[in-house]
Amino acid sequence: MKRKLISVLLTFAMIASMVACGSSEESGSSEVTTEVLSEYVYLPEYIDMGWELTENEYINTVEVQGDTVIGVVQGWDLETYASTTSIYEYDLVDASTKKLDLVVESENASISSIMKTDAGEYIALLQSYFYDEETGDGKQNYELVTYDAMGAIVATVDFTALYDELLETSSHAYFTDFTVDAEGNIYLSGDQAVYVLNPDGMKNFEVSANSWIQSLGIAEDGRVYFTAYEELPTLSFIDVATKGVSDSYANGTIGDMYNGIYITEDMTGMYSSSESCVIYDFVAEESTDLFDWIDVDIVGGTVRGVSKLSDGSVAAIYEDNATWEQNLVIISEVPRSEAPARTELVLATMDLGWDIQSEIIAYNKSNSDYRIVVEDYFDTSKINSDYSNYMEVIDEGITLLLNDLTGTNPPDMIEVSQWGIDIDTLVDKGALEEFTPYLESAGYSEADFIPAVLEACKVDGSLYYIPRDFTVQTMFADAAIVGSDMGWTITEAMDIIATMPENMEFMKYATKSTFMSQVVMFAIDSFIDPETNEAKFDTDEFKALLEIANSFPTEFEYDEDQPSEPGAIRAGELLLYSSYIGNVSSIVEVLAIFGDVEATAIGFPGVSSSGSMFSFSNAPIAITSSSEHKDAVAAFIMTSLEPEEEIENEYMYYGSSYGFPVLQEEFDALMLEELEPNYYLDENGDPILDENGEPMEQGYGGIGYGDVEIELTAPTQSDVDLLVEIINATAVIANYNSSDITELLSTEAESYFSGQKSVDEVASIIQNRVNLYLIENS
Amino acid sequence: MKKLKGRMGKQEKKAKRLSALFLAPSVLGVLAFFIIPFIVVIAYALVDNPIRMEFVGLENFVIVIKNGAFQKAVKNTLSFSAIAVPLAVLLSLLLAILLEWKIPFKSQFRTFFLSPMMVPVASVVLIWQVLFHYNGAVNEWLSVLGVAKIDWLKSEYSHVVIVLLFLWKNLGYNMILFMSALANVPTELLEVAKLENANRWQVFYHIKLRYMSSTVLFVTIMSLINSFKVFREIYLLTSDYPYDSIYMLQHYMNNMFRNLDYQKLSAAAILMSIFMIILIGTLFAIENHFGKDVEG
Repeated sequence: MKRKLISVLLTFAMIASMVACGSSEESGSSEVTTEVLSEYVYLPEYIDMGWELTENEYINTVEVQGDTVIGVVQGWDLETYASTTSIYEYDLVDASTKKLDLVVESENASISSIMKTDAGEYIALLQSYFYDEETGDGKQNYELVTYDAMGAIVATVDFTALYDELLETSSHAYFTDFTVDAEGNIYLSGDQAVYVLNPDGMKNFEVSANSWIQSLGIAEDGRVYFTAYEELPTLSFIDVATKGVSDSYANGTIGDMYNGIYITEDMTGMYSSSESCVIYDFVAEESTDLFDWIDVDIVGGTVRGVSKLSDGSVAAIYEDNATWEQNLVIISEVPRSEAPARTELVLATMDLGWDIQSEIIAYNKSNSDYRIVVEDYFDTSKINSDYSNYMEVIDEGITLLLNDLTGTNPPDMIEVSQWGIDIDTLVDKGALEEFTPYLESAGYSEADFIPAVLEACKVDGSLYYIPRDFTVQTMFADAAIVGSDMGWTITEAMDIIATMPENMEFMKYATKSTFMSQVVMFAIDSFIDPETNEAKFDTDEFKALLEIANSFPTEFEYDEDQPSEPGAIRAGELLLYSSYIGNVSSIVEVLAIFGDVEATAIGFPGVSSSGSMFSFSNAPIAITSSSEHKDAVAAFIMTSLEPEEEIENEYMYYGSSYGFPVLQEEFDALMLEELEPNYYLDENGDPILDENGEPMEQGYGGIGYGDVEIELTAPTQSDVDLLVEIINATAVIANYNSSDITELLSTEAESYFSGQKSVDEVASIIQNRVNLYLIENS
Repeated sequence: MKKLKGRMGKQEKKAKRLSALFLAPSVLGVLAFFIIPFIVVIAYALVDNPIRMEFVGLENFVIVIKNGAFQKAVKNTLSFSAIAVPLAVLLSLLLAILLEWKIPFKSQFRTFFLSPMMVPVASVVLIWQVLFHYNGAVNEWLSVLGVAKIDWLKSEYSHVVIVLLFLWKNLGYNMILFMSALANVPTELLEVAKLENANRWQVFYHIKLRYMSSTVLFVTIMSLINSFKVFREIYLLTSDYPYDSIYMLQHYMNNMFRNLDYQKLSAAAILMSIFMIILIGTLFAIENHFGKDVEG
């Protein structure tokens, strides 16, 4: 009986201990938090603040204070040509809008920051620029102007004297932001210091930082803080009594707090990273993503500030990435059951492209059946502030992604990044769905696309994705030295290095590591026998290549007297000119740099075919073979091929066209457009004629490199022909994935570069280890 | 009588149910952590890849057996085990015999040989890197003697380094097991042998070794298992693709896992399991043959 009792007790203890392996809701572990969070979702509400701006007005700055959004709008009166300044205010509680015209006495003045006091007054940091007739110099004034509720000036504190004082010792004198505490002390953020002024404007003291001040504000408890990126992103509180910093907290993640931070009394901060709304506990030194911006249909990099509202929701100011207007969105946590029910399409990514974010948001806003959810496997919050574990975090992400692909809940699509997971691996494992049938059912055929790009994208003859756009990465060189044919082998490159003039450099800014990454790594295939799959790294050719790499400096030393890259080309002191060709103007620019010298797009040595490589500014998306919603995913991918989407993509790069469309018809249309003369147009869109009745053509400007001025001309048919020739001859996609071979090479080569081992020893070790890799993967 | 039988049957049933209840957690644990995963491994070994999961029969086994890297890994693992395991058994037995004698600092020696067991593997690796790195301590000492630098971890010498590392890590534990076994040899037999003028070798071979046979088997099996686990130290010293002479079976399997080649990993794991079962079964048979007269 006694033994039975002991057995029962032991069994009970064992079961209890197994139960304890899980976690109760009270335990507060991260797993529980995830579970609780998963019951809720964050839903955005886009607020129309009713700020009806005219064509002549623009929003200069927007800030959220408490439950009020305050915007400073500047413009000009078309009749009087005088500048105007207004405050627009939106009350989030009663959804009311108020406009207040301000009196700004100085011309050429702008308000860079504004705050509303509890008394209902507005304090603005006014920066004005004027021309000093006596000295003939431009001059800046800084003032803090207090306006009453009607917009009339109540008080002005001029601290131009402080600015002038700073200007005497530094060329980086400026004030970007301000705040005023409950006692009326004024805090101004400068370049690398915060200046604290008495209420009368007299300087009291300053607090220096070792780097530029990112943001300045008031925490929930009324203390004034500033953030700076010192060795780590740092949050510091200013204490007027001790005239210094009272507390300082480091943010151990790489999270920048330059958009400001909302700090609660328990020392948690909320700020916006480029990907998510982050909660950082400064006491526990823990970072948590509250939600990803993409999940609330906002492009992460466009958020300009976040604030917590009295009802617990999050207010964010973001810029529309098409119109660049500043908008307000309120993000609230709601039970998942209240969110619209839509089938989720999971996009796995390691490097979410800017344009893809816009496309996902547009899709999610317009589609009532499906919603794209982004699963980012590159968790940047795990990266140390010194980036020492960067590669480990990438590897961890790739492992997680591979595990999920074989798990029970695989993603529906994968962003095939040139910096993430290798597409050959995915295809080899049967993870990707062939894309051609989906293209055909959407009415496309392979003939609709630029053949060279399509062929380069294929793996073992099958197409798994279509890029949105592409660029070409190549090297140009003097045809008299390298010949007029595109492409060269490693041996040919080494022969040229051996015979080129003594004062000529092979590559500009080349170091041992850049030579390894831009020449040796790209040419790895040259050292692998495709038939026997055996490595050829113990050959004299590879040893000679290592010796060339070793002839470059370990680190590039900047010398302002050195000629620029175009300058060195023109002086005959540089062989290769590196170029990313994203439009016809890139060709025009390179040819202008070479001037009268005939240039060949020789490419990278050892890279097959022309030596040039295709690159994608947005990683293409492939459908996973395990997706249950392949048609829906294909339909989403296909939206990027729509002509209007392609045109929009071209203009996503801050207004300039960059990147070529993959559809042949679109490409041809773009080339014709590039060849059209660029005329001055009148208000009706018609060309303005000169005195001879000829349309007046706009100049194409020039580029100054310091030592060389390049004059750009209109693209010609021969430029387009050269571009087409380069594209048609290109056969490979630039692959920056860190493979096992590249890692082996760089690790082992390092011991040669550092003088520890001879070139023979290193080549022999590389041969041994790479061969093992090749045999294993054969 | 019938009543008694019925009562006995009831009690037996109750006892069986109770036994089943007590056994259930262990059975569930073994099922969850050993049986089911092994079935999954077998399933993976018979499909083309973990995503498509198309049945391919024994094709993966053929691919794995034909793979040059797998063959190299098998050869390296076997040659390592063939050298390291006997050395680990013999040297630890020798140490145990030495420490059985009344020598000064006996207990300090025992502690010294046991200390590697207490060092975490990451520290072990660090120590060995300091010793056997190209610019490490061993090369420094050798340079004093005029010997040129040896790339201990990236040359054929790497095999020697790994054997030394294995012995350093395992000798202490084996030694303690042997010391315990030696202490359990019946003293009356030893005294009789002494009276019979048996020499030390005869005492050792005919009495001690016979009584220690089960311990020798246990130490051999443990050393064999540990020899297959030396991958951990090699991996930390030289990463996924070491110099080919120290590329072990677990390197192959680990790299297959990283590459999502679960089917090859599973086939290799099954082949290795079969080999281990046969080897350990043979060892048990040998022990049974030679040691049965001293058991029980």
